[in-house]
Amino acid sequence: MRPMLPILFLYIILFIIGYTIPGMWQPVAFIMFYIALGQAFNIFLGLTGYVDFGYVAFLALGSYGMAIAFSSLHESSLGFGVILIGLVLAMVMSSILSLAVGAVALRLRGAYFAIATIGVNEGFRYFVEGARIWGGSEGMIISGQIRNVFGSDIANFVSTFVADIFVFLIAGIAAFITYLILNRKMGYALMALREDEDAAKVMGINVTKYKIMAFILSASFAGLLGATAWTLKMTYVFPADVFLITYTVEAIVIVMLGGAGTLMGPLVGGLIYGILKYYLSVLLPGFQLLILAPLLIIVVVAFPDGIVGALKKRIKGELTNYIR
Amino acid sequence: MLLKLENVTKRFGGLVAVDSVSLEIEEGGAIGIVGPNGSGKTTLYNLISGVYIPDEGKVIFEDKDITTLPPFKRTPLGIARTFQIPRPFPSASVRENVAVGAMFGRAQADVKEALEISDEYLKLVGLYEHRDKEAGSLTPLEKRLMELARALAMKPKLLLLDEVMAGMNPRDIDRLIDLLKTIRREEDIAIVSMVEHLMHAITKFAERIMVMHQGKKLIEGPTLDVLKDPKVIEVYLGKEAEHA
Repeated sequence: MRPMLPILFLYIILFIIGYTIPGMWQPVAFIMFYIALGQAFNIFLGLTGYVDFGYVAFLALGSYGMAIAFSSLHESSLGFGVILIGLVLAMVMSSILSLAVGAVALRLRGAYFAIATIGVNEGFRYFVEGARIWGGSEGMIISGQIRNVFGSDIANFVSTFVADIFVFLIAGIAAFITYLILNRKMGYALMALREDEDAAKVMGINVTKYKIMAFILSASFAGLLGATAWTLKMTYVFPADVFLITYTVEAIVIVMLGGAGTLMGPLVGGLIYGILKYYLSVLLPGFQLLILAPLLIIVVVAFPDGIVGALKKRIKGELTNYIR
Repeated sequence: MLLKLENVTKRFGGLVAVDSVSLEIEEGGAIGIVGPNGSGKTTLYNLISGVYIPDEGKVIFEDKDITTLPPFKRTPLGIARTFQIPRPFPSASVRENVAVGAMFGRAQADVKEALEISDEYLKLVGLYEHRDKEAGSLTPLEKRLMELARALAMKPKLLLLDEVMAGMNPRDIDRLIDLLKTIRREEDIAIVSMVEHLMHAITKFAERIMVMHQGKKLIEGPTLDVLKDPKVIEVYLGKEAEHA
């Protein structure tokens, strides 16, 4: 359990900063979203080495899952049960999509997989808009339904606080699942297929099975994140917002920056990326990308294994038990 | 019979890489497969380990037809192999590399057991003190020994070695042959060793030898008989008449 300690410690610190210092809750929640996004994506990108350019589609489906739960159950008296059903729906929907995409595309290798997944996101968005399902291009607005379920005071509390707490929980659970995988046969299987897929096959590893398992797990966390950080927080879902490829790119950057396949990487990457993005857009609005891009290039060139990856190689002794 | 190949054939387009080869390997046997570059040896290994499915013929392991099984269903039965060019998982440690063998081979060990098995075989091949190094940082010879340990950690009944002695000096080769003999004796593993040239080393180890030439089995028999066979001399040294 020791490698989980620094992560839990940092989460608690972030929570305390956000909770006790006035005005800090929003920036902390903003940063936590990126950490959670990194933790979720790391389970796939980091552990398998496969790049999925359609990743945001899983967040999008999750956000629809929550919206569907509220729009169809707002007259029931389930209360917080609606959120629970929304979470389950989000996970189910994103894992079904990941199973469908994975079963086909994960038979492809490396770059071919990446190319095959680019279309998933855009394709799904145009399907939703064109077939006019789930409100089509107008999306789904569920602020009224949330008020119906909880009353306006609690509804406000849900979208300004509970939604963010969920993001904390998702980041924490995703990190814990990563930790469990790393210490089990699955972790070794994924390491082997990431390093040399053909050799892994001959060593007796059912590579397709393990890739799909990692993909579904990672996609379910993405679905939960979309359901909470987007739908519960914003109280609406617009296809143009949720199928935005920018989030996929940001997820890739966070994982690579922190260290793909490391346990702490997404936390470090998400923290740096989140802080930079938030404060650059406050201090130098409009310039954030101009500054972020070269900075990221420098970091990626200087630390090809990511920050945590580079750190792991340099530390010795007792510390190695805490950083993974 | 441990492994039986019945007239297996593998074609790549117009090229017949393995042409109706039959071979039987007993439990605990030691067979050398010899043949020049391109004679179909590696393809034969790929057919046994499941990388390729033969176009014709059957692969039978312990009376079970495994012709169309994928590799991950063959290793639990007890088939392990090494590669001609070692293929370590480079950024993992030596110990983890070998542990992967123990986890997904016939041993099917859990993580803790696998790491113990890994230590055991690293001691056997003499790499124990390198166990925490990154596998990618080993010398080519060490990588080959690590691959051997990784294959052994799978606890196979049949071990396929691909040019495991290439590039070694005579002293290392002697050490390796002693090691292979010990393994065979103690763990009752049938070992197939494949080499490009009929070198002295293979004759010291193998009880039987199969010589391959252009995808076909040229000859198979007890090592000494094969060495004296005129067809083998022809393939390797050319016809005697040309020297006269």
